[in-house]
Amino acid sequence: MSISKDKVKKIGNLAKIKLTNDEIEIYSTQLTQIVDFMNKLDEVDTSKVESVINQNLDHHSNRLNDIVEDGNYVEKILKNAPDSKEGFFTTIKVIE
Amino acid sequence: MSILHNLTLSKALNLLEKGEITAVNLTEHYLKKIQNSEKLNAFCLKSSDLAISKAEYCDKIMKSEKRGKLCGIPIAIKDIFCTKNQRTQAASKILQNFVPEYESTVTAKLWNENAIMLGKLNMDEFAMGSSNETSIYGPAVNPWKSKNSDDDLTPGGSSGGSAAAVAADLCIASMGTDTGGSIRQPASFNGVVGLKPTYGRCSRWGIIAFASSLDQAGPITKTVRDSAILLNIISGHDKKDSTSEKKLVPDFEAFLDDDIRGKKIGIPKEYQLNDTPEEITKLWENGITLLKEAGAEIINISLPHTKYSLPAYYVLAPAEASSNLARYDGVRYGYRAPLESDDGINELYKMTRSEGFGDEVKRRIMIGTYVLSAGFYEAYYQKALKVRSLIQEDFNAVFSSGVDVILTPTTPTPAFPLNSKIKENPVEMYLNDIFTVPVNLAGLPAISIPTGLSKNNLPLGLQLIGPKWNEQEILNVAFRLEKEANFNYNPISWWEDK
Repeated sequence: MSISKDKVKKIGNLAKIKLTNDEIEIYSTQLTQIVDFMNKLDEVDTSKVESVINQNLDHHSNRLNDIVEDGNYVEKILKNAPDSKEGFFTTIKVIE
Repeated sequence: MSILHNLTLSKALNLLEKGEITAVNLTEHYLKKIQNSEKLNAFCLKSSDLAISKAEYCDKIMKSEKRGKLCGIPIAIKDIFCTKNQRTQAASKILQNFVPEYESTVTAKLWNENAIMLGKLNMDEFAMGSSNETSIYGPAVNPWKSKNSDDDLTPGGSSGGSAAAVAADLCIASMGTDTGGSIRQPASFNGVVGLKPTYGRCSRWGIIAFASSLDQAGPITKTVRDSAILLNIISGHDKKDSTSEKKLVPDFEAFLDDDIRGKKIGIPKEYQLNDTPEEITKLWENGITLLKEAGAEIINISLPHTKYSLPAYYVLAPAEASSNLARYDGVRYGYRAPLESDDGINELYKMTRSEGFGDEVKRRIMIGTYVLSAGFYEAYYQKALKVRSLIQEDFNAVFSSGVDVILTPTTPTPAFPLNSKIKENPVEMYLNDIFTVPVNLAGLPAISIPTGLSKNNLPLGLQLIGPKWNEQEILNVAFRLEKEANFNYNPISWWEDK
């Protein structure tokens, strides 16, 4: 199955990645090659197999209780922000 | 030859304890070597001042009983581990100048035992690559050269800097991560030992995420014993990572007795490919002979779904990556693209991600987005999850039939020249991971150890795979194989500025 240029544009949009026309062209070819490679999975009969998201987990009992144990380090959190003001991250104006 | 030359971890601990060397001697020795090895591009951050002050501290407490199990040992860390107050970028522009406010659990465990950090090591961007060529810093270079050519070779990936630094003796040992072979393939390409522990053995907290159901940290070392020593330190449950398991951590080093009589070694027929080069087949046969002579029993086995491992991996890993990397939006940390005055929030996200991510990372995010999108989720993502279950069942069947350890080659080829495989078709590069990926999908432990040289004098490794939570078994068989193979070669140091 081929991944058309329109499809690539749509995927780029979903993934929030701006693509140049050259990139759209190249990714259309390359994603097609990768998807062809993945299609090999169709050969496998999986009708009797359950899907498990992370089967590497032996159990799920390690979850923490949802209790706040720390906090109050706004400065540390903002330290790596590209831009911040008065204890908040700043973005550009959002007008819907 | 200086006493400091090519020191193993166990030897260095011994010399430090006896007072024959000091932590400052050792640290200065490595810092100088690192300084003179720019051509390898293995380090992307050198933490010299921090290293010296920690070494001085180690020398002060060396006689104390509370000195820690790694007191005075200089180690280097893949750029994917968050290190407090030390720049951490996962070799990506999008994390430009990111300085973590916290330390990853694995590295914190090393520093708590008073290991010394020499710096951060080069890698493929976000650990996505098998040749180190996707790094924003440019690739690390393999210290080995083919006998017929002066071409720079790949150190492999993604932990290429970690393996090159150990092979070139720029540190005692290093830490890497392995999502589809990223510790074992570079270890094989550089003639060193690389261990990927069982999924859940070590905490992933503070490791920049690539594919969360597959990622696992592990050591790259000069010997199998050194690997066991470091695994002892980094293992164990961490409440900050719910996927790290509450399992008893055995003393892996104490288990090394090199007696493998009666051990059942499985040889999977599916790992013999039609186009496997003769030198790889020979290496494998030689390994089989050595283990047999040491008293092990060789058993032919089948892992029928092996050939579906790579396609399943290249659905699942990008799917998880596309989700994990959604956090890079130019708002909270890292790179933010410069914008025009009338640009909106969408442009902020899109431009930042477009400029901040490299080509391979974008490709994998796009593939991941595609296989998770409506209409394709069932056909690709769900399908790959099911195939993954079948791959795990293959291994379960073999181990429950009494096989102790599986022996395979680590890679289908020796190290290849840089710039030779970044071609039009990315699938070519993916084929590098053919022998290593099934292990990650099944969550098993595996180790690569060097056992021979290619016809062009490049190191080649064999891989030992064990059942879950049984690193001690693969370490012990590797320990014996290491002794029998007696791989006693080092690269000639062409890279040093004298």
